[in-house]
Amino acid sequence: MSRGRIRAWCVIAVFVLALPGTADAYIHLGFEGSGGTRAIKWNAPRVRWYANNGGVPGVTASQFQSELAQAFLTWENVPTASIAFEFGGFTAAVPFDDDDLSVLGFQSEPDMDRVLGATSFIVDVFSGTIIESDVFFNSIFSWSVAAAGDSNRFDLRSVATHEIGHFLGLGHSAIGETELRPDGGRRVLGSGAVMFPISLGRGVIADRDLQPDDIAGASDLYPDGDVRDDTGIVSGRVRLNNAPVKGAHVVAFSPQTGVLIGNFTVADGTFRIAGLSPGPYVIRVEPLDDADVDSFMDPQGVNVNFRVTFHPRLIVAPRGGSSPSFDVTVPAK
Amino acid sequence: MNRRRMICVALFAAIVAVRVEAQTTSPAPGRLQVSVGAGWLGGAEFGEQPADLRTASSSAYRLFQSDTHLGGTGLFEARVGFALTKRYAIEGRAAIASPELQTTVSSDAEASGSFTAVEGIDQYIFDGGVLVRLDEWQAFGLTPFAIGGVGYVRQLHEDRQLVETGHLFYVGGGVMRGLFARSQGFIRSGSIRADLRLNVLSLELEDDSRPQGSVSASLVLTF
Repeated sequence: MSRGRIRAWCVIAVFVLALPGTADAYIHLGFEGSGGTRAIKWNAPRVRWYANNGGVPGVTASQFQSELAQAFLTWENVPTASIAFEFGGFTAAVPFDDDDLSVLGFQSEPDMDRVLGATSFIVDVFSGTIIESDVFFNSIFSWSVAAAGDSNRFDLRSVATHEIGHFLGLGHSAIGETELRPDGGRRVLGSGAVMFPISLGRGVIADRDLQPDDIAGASDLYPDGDVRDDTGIVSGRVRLNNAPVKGAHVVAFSPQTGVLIGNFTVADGTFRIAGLSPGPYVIRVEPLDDADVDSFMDPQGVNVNFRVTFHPRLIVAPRGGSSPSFDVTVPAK
Repeated sequence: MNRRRMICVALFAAIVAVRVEAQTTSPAPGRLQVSVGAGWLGGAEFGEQPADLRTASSSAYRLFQSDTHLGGTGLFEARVGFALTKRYAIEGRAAIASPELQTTVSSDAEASGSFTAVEGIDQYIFDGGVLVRLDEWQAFGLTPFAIGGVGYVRQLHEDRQLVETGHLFYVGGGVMRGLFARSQGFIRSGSIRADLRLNVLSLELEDDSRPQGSVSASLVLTF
């Protein structure tokens, strides 16, 4: 059978970064195929990866492999997700070659001077199965593997944890706040997910640890055991002047635990947030204004001209089911 | 006229009609007591919970603050008791209340003002315990008593989307006042009773136990 392939890219940048290609709404990557949007994911129980055998100043090939193994293990240890990884060995192959090997390695990309790393995919467009995924780390930056971080270098494991989230099939999360810098870039004030598209900066090692939004995304894509019976979904629709809003960022906040889990509305204004512990949630809707819209989805039709809005009802995520659909009406800016 | 008001009117009418000096609230051992009443279930504070984001430093960036509490509400109750001795009785109670869960969000990083999101909850309580009459402290025709026991809580969230169960402990006390007493007949005596309780609820989705006070008044018939 002939197999269609597409290559999609996800990147994490120093300040602002883009997601050209086929990133779909929601925190999963996907593409438009016949019958609608299809999420991409691995269908093997154990995914093999290879480390490029080249190092960079401050990071030997062995240290590189060790840090990546830790980052893979972070995702593998999500108790509610079932995905496992296996180190296949060192290789001279480089990322982004179409060689059926999932290779992670350093590369020098001076033209991508705001990109710390990027992930690419080769996907079976009929099934959505990921066939190969490569990750590069931009060697024009200084990297650190120090346990406590290095204030002058980017923490390799933190960035690797982000890129491996893409490697799994996760897109960017919008749970975060930024402010514009004079040079046009953005500074992160705070982020609520390792999958937020902008790095916290040099020396910060916080993103070695996943946040609830990351865990919910991985668990929804690779559900383990009874996770779908034990967690709930809230779903609804965002409207402005009686018209659907595409690209609204909807966050469910648990006033019991403080957990924040988000998602985006699609073209018909609907959204779905899965992986929620049963209980009541505050629903907050905001425009996608804390990073370039194309970091999250195809910007065409995305509406950012509305104000932050809280839904007046607490919405209950039932155990093993979905809330009744509800509408959130947002006011124009 | 709603149900609560009807019960209050009935209790008032009973009080007016009573000839206190001739009555007793002490049932003979082995007698069954049935009561119905209404009251107020106090609210509970769940406290503040921030929506914090991770930052480059050890301090968090606060997206917004939230403060959640369960509002006070009316309650209806029915009780069945059994007098073991003149001093001790065991009793079981079923109560229903419909409080509102309210979360107020403030100090949002991108929105001014505060917002309150609410949810209706139906709370069913089934409990049982011991009642101890304190006849030695009787005064003004009022007989004090102390109560304590355990129970089961079933809490239905809005639209019955989620069922939460748990248990409770309660302690409290109150006073009883006789309305009438007869040596013969199906109904041997009637009295009114006022309760003040501290309920400590532990529900499966809540990390901490929650204290909730309640007051109620009941019409008691002894068979």
